[in-house]
Amino acid sequence: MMRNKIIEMRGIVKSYYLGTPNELEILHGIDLDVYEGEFLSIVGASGSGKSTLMNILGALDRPTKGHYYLDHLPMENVRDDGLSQIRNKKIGFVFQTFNLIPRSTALKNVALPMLYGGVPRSERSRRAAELLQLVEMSGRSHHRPNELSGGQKQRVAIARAMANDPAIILADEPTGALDTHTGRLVMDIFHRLHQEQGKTIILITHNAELAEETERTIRLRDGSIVDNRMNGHYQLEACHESV
Amino acid sequence: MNLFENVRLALEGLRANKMRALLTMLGIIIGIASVMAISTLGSAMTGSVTKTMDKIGGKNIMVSLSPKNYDTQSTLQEEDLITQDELDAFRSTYADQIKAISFSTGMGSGQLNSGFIHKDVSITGASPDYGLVNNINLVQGRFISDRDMDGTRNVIIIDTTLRNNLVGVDGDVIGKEIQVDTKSTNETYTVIGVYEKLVIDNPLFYMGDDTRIECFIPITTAKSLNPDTTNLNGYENFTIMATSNTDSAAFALTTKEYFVKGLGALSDFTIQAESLEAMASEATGMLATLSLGISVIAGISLLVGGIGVMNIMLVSVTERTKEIGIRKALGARNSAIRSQFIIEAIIICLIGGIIGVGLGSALGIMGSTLMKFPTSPPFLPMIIALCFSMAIGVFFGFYPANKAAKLDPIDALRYE
Repeated sequence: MMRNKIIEMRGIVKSYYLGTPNELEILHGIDLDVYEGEFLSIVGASGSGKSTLMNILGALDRPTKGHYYLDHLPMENVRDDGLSQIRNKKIGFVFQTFNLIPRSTALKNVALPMLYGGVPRSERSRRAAELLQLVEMSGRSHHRPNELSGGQKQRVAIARAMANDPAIILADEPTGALDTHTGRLVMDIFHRLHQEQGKTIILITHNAELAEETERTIRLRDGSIVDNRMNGHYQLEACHESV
Repeated sequence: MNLFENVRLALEGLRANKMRALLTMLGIIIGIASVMAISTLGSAMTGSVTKTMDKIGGKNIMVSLSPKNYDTQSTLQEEDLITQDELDAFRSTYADQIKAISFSTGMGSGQLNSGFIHKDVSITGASPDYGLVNNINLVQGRFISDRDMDGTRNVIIIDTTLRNNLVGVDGDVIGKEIQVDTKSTNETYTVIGVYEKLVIDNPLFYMGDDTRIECFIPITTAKSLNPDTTNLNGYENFTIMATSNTDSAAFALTTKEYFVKGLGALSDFTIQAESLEAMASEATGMLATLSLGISVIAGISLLVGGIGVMNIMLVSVTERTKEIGIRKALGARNSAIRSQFIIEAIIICLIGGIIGVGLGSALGIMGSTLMKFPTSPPFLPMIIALCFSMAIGVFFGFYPANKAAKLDPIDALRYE
């Protein structure tokens, strides 16, 4: 079975120029393939280049060198508006600090990516309600973020990430601000999205235990990939498949 | 994203900070309200000048002989005076521009006696066209005729107050004989007409409370009776009524030139010809200058208001940096962010503008009503004021909105 390569990175370099002699290279030529339906984790200590990699993966930033294809689309030469559109349609962000719009209700927060995607109003509310139901937040759809607990906020944020049915969900430390129990609930939602809907999920974390739950873990150190392996029972499945 | 969505977003943003939005609006409200009040008042005044001009004869040109040099004592010589022949020639030259020419001479005040009734009156000798030129509103009888003039008849036109005193409101006073004593004459006149006194209720034309009763007699009679009158064979002043399609200001100049030529270079006197229309436009011009001056001050307050809007928008952009980052991460284009903030600024200014227009028109109407210039709110300035307040929103909202649109999404997301 040929698996669809949803992300292909070749020789991604990111450097910052702090005046000509002081070039600071953060990523030193990253090669990365992610297949459709994969649940991938990226781990690394702080300063390893995780965030920079995530920004490039999420089309928030451009690499200095190298090629990046997202859903077979070459990302070089895409202008700012094009990047906005790619973020809108292809990527669903889940942040550590939730990043919900404080004055808007849960429903409106979920509907926001659809607003920027040009989805008609009635369709937006309908789908937002559906997504809130998926994360079991229907009862809170008219509450503002400050009336929600951390776990609830993160569930709303996951629903928002799903709004435009993106190619990948990019979750940056999604449980970092939550206690173990609610963190568990949030992880369960990711597993469900992965298993039931076949979503491609990239989880960025420094929690080795959580990384262990995913299919594959990429380890970053000082701007390079030092480890790329299948985890636990997934390893077996992968062996079966390749046979 | 369409305009409607943007407006909804902007309203949401404003609702979150009602008090701040209102305070920001205040600058715009004050600016627009003062411009509106001034323009309402100004247009009311200009309108009332025009209306009053129509009432007292806007097409009139007053012609008079006046000394060239007021320092030296100059006496009017008979050859200076404008003769009837000269006038007839003038009239036939410009027949299509002249509707009427009237003459009058004051005879001073006197006392009217009729039976037990004694009244102080002032007597004016007038020509037949005087009634037309000065808009005399006859309610009974007739005005002076050419035959009254030729016969130097002792006939008189009185006003309604006097008639009411003599015979009551319904009484017939035509044909009644009354006696009028002035300093040098005691004559008996036959009443031939009754006129209603023109009431000018415009404070801009206030000329003192004239409670005197003015009566008219033929100018020929007046001249023959008054031994002081030296101008028997000519006129030193008269009033021309131009036809309605004549530019009376220009015709005043023509008139002046025409009669100055007839005067001769040696005369101590010159001709003055002034059109009421020109005087009125001078008055309205002064009003316009005045309101322009006040509008400039109001404009400065609008400018300050606009800067206030810009300031608050900049604060708002900084405050919502993180929100902008989130929106960009979720796929908002730069243009969407820019229009959200510009529309927010426009809405602040437009709401301020609407409140200002309402407040300003109300103030203007109140002021003009108090000053007795009835008016309706001027429509065009309202539209201009609203458009202008929107323009302020665009102008002062653009810089902050552009700043928001150009924020780097990564930096904005990291902002705390």
